[in-house]
Amino acid sequence: MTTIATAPATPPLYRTSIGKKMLMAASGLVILLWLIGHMLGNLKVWLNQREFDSYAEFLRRLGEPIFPHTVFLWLIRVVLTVAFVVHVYLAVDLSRRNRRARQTRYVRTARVQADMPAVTMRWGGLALALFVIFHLANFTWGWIHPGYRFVRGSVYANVVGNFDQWWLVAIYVAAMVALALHIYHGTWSIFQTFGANSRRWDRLIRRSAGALAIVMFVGFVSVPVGVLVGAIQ
Amino acid sequence: MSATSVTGLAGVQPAPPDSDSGPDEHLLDLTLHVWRQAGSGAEGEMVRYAAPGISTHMSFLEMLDVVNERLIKEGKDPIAFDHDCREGICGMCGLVINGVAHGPQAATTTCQLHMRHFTDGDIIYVEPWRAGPFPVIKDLIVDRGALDRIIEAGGFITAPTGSAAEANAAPVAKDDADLAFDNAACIGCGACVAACPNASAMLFTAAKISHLAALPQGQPEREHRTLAMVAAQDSLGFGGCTNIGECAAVCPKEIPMESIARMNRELLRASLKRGRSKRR
Repeated sequence: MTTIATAPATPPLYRTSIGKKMLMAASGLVILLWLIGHMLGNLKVWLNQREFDSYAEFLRRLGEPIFPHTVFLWLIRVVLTVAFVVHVYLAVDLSRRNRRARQTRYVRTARVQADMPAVTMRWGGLALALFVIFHLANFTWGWIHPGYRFVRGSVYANVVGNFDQWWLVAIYVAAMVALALHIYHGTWSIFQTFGANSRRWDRLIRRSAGALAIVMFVGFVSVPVGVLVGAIQ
Repeated sequence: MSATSVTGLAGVQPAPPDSDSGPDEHLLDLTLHVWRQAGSGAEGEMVRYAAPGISTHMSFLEMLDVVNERLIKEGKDPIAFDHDCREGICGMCGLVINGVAHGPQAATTTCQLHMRHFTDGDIIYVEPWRAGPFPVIKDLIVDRGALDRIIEAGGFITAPTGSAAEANAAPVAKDDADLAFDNAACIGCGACVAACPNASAMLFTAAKISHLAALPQGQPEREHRTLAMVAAQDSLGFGGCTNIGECAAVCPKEIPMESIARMNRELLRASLKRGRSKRR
């Protein structure tokens, strides 16, 4: 008779480094899906003030009459915040493990094939986290509104007032570069981490991730640039 | 090295020179910066050595042999480095050369890297594998026993002792055999760990898991193997994967990133199956 090695206790999936990566990928996917909706919604600013402001008001009505006013919006916000906290917490947790694994560094280092988006995930991610806070202070909380009057609910006027300033446009474009790089490596990584990648599909997944990153960049950046050049006013 | 040194049977021509031993030998004057460390607990440092008159026909390890012979003649301590078969199949050798594990040539172990890939006057930095689970024993030699601990956790199959089973009793599809062999090509040299910015052993573990999961002989322990080997690499202090791909780029046996995706899939599968069996 063949005896099979008895299994000693192994940690549950979420305690393993790979399981944590899967949670990072899943939370990243939640944020990514939301970002796609956010980008598409932003494009409504290209129609006119009435369309954009009523779209913003629609978001508060979302889910009615099943959900009371703004409740569904708050559900989305809670899910998004949880995903964000999980994503950042695990990024820190995994990064600390990775740093501990190589305490003595090489005198000479060289990169053989790693691309720039892959090696900028940590710093790019930190930059994006800071940007998200700035962005909320800018358009949600209305704490930062240099050179214009922030009016809650007048989203079109707020956007135009904000992006009339070139330096705010510069901050947003820089953040969207970081976002595009993060989306490119992150989207490919979702497939890799969940084991849905293979040599056969790798090229297609990479190209699709690249295309998504470009579409997201162009979609988001079109708004501040459109205001700055006077196409949206 | 040269055709005149080959003495064969009458009428037997020496083998034509292949690309590894072309006729155009040059001598290189090199400068080495080598990590020297007296022992595991000692402080180490990079030490500069002049290495003149190095033949382009030498392998990297033969170059170090020559440097060591000169050091010994001078009454100095030779540079300690790991090596065994010197034909690229054992996995013992491994140096980080100018920041790249196994040096500048892809799909090549350090012993199969030849000095013709360098040019006269080159400055070459030679460092040991760097990873918490790979402590330096001396100079360029590290203890890679942590990889053995991962294997011990599950990188085996249970086979009955006694006479060998009839080879054709367990049919293996050609695609599965190819997949298993591609992953079984891993020689456990540890270059993936050395090259990974996180000192992760994922590519090594993934190769072993992929190899055995593809074969019928690997099925009885399939789930336990994955769970146990992943747990072992985590507890040994290796880092995690950030999907950068440096490991696959330096792997002398060209184990692909696909194997890591397969390991992730196997872990998901094993965890789901364990969850189901617990509820039963």
